Amino acid sequence: MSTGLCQNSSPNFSAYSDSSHIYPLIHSNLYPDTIKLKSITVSAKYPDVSYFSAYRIPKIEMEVHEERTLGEILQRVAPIYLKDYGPGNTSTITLRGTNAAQTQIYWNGIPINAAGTGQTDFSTIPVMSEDEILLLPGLVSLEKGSGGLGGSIEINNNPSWNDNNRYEAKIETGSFGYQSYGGKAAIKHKNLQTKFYTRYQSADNDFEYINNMLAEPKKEKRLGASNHQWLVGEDFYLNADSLNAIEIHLFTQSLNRDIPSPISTVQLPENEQMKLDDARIMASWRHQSKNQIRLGLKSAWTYNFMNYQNKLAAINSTYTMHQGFLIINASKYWENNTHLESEIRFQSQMARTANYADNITRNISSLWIKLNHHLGSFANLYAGMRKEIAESTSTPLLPVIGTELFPMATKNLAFYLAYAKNSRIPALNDLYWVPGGNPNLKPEISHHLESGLRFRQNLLNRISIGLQANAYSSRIKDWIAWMPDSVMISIWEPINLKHVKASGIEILIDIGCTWSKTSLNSRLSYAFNITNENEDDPQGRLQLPYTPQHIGNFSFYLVHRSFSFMYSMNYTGKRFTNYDESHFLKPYLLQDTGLDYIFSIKKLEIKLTLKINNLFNIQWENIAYQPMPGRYFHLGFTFLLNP
Amino acid sequence: MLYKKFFYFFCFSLVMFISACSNEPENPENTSENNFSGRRGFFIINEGLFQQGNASIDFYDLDTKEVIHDVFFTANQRPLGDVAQSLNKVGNKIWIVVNNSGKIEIVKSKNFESIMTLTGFASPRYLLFHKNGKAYLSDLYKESLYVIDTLTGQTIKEISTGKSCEYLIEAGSHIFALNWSSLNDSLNNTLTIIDGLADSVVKSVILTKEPNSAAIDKNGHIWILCSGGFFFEETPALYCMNPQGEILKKFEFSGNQTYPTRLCINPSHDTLFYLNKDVYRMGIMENDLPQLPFIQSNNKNFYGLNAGNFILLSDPLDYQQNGNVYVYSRKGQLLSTFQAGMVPSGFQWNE
Repeated sequence: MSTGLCQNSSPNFSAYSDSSHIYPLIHSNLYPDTIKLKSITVSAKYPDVSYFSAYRIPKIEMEVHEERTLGEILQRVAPIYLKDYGPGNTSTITLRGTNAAQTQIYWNGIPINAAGTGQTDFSTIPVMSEDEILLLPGLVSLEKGSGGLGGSIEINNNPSWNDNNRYEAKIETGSFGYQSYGGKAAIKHKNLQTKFYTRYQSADNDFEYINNMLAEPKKEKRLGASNHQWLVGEDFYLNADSLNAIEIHLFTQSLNRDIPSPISTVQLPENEQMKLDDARIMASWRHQSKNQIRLGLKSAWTYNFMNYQNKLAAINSTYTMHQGFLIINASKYWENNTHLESEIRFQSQMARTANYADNITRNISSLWIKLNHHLGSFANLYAGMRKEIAESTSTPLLPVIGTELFPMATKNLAFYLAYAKNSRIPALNDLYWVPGGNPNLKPEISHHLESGLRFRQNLLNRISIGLQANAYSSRIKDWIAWMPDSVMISIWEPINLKHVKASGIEILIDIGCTWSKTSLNSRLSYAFNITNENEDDPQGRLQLPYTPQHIGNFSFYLVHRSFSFMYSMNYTGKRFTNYDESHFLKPYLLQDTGLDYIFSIKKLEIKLTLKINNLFNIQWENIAYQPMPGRYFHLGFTFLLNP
Repeated sequence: MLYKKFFYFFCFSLVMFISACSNEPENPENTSENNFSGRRGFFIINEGLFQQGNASIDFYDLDTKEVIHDVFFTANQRPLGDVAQSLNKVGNKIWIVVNNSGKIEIVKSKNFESIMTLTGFASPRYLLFHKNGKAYLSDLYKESLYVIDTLTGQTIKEISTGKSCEYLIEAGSHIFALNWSSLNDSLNNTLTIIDGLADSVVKSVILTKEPNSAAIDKNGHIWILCSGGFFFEETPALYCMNPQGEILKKFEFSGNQTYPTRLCINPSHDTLFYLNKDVYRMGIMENDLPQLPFIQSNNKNFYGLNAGNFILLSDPLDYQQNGNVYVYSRKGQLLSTFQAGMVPSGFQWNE
């Protein structure tokens, strides 16, 4: 199992990294698998500003499960619920009881949620082990933008200046017609670095399941569930001089999938199909002045195309979206441990679809100001404010205020308490869909209160123990829900209807230790959540559908010489499928295991991987009547050349 | 020593996770057997939500005021399926058309025990039982009608109609099939008349967009309600026709954005009822559409309507929770309210 070596900064430029690069480094301490990153060099000029309850997805998870989608990896390690329609098919997440549109996704600081639905299909977001993925639940998401009422997820591509050039090819095969071919290259020349990656994946997903809908339940094979996807990406990093840096990120992908029907419906293989094309480009420039002022300029363009076909219903629907972004940020650090940061963001959305009456253009502007002050080594005070304006709709002023206390001089232990107000402006479909779109919708508003602690202790330079615990409470009003129109009940329209409150706790424990050529990492997380509608509602005490109260994960990695062993468990509790709790999906416990062996032939390193997923072949569902695969296998070969 | 600690920690974690997994049943089960023979009441068709497989059938006993939920699941220990569209009681059998599951469940009317499941349909909608041991089945995604042998459940033939058919009603020897759907851009403003003896199309009659429901009165006249189109393209209208398909009367609705549905008739076949947000009532001899509602919705979302000895109305609320059923007297007085299943949409008297 290779070691995560990607989070590095140039010694010259580390101090100029923008916030998305600095903060995660603080949190890298939380995970034993990232302790190995000794080559990280960060200027000590800036204070440790934390993201309160942020989770950094362990590098080892991304390396071991690189073939999986972002949603599948998050489900393994984070307190989220993946609403998954099956392998290769649409999946969205529920974070702290909120809906899919209330989690924002940022790619190198650019929001990439679908502008039409406001949601993100997590099955379309690939994971590369070089990526940095941060889960920012709750109020901390306001740092990156509004709308993340449940939180946000950041995907960042970073340079790795201390790495040598390397080339990698990967081939995987597995059950249900799964195939994956990928390649990567990281090349560095002086102060220029580029990383290239590509991947092709396909699967038939023709697994067997037991159909309990039939008079006599029997095994059936999932039909019409195949998918194939290719992607290409390239990143360029240039440290122009000691004060200026430029980054360019390119990404494009194309995905085709057959959409299988729920097993409660008539099975019509290949009747429904979807094609998705995405392209994004982002360029940024960062400048560090000599008087502790940092400036940043970021520009991006994203393109999304979606085509949905239902042959039987004679539907052939397309949706095209272009978005442009311009982000300007500036920050200033004073010697009295005060840090001021500001950002202005302009976003332009251009949608074209027959489902709107006209082509839609919407401009969104956002302003963010944040002040951070350290009271010696004892406390950190944090205050921020965001305002967003979208054409005629605007969010109210969105404040965030919090404090961290460090009772120990070593800062091994931290307590925090924070409050934030957040808001989500309606998505384009909510406003303009024909029929039903409601241009009079108000933004959703949320209030969050959160507290927690973080603790980390290293023992004998061999053992690392980490603990993170959070408790939160949030109230969301004017929650947008699609309801039947009062005149014509067959037409639905979105209205600001619900008031929802969510509260819960999250606990994360990790332990890592190393003896000579053996290392062990183990991680346990648990989340408890209660989410229900306003208590004024007679049914307000009921848990919202598809929001499990209990989620738990456990993972265990053992590396000894050239062998690696992996074992993981994911427990997902009971999920109600309707609002009166009369129907629910059973809890499930998934267990996966895997083995790696690495050997070298001259400069070529070869890794053989065998994984067994759903070890005990349980029957499970994330969405009612959408069966998931039983036990299945993956076999992989990775060829790594370090010339 | 350290190895041991990790081993204990690992075992503790394993036990904790496994113990958290209880073997709960997927849905609440009522395993007691029901018997509906001779009980005065009605079945409620709970349509359920599209693609969520939560359709169900409830029974309401008028004498005991008891609601028996999910009678199909109770009898068969499996869900009914996805979108229960319609239900017909024929003799000692009940035929349930489950639209998005593409099937018809045939059960015993006394206890809902499954007799047979007919499959192979694309999107079945309504059944019409004919005298000669056959039934006609409309299908949203077919430009034809299935003819089914009611004894064997076999599809005998398909009658090509050239358009998707919806509601079916028999008038004399003719079958009136309403062409409600604009599937494949076909006209959705027509009525197809089929000879029930020859099983062939006699003619097609142009009405108003979206003929959605029909009733036959004591004079043998057929009343057809057209909602005017999904986007309010045409003025909604109510037609009165003779069994030969000739239009005798046409009533046009006034006001913007009206969308009348669910036409039905009382047991004496002399008074029509329909939904247009509120419930309206109209005698078959009247010359104008009623201006005032018979039962006001008062912020309820009336969705299903049946005009038997009692007026039955359903309200799916927000479509996210179990809906309500309201029982009114023939004079429009609310007699009782109870909770049904997801999206209650239709009724069948247990006669």
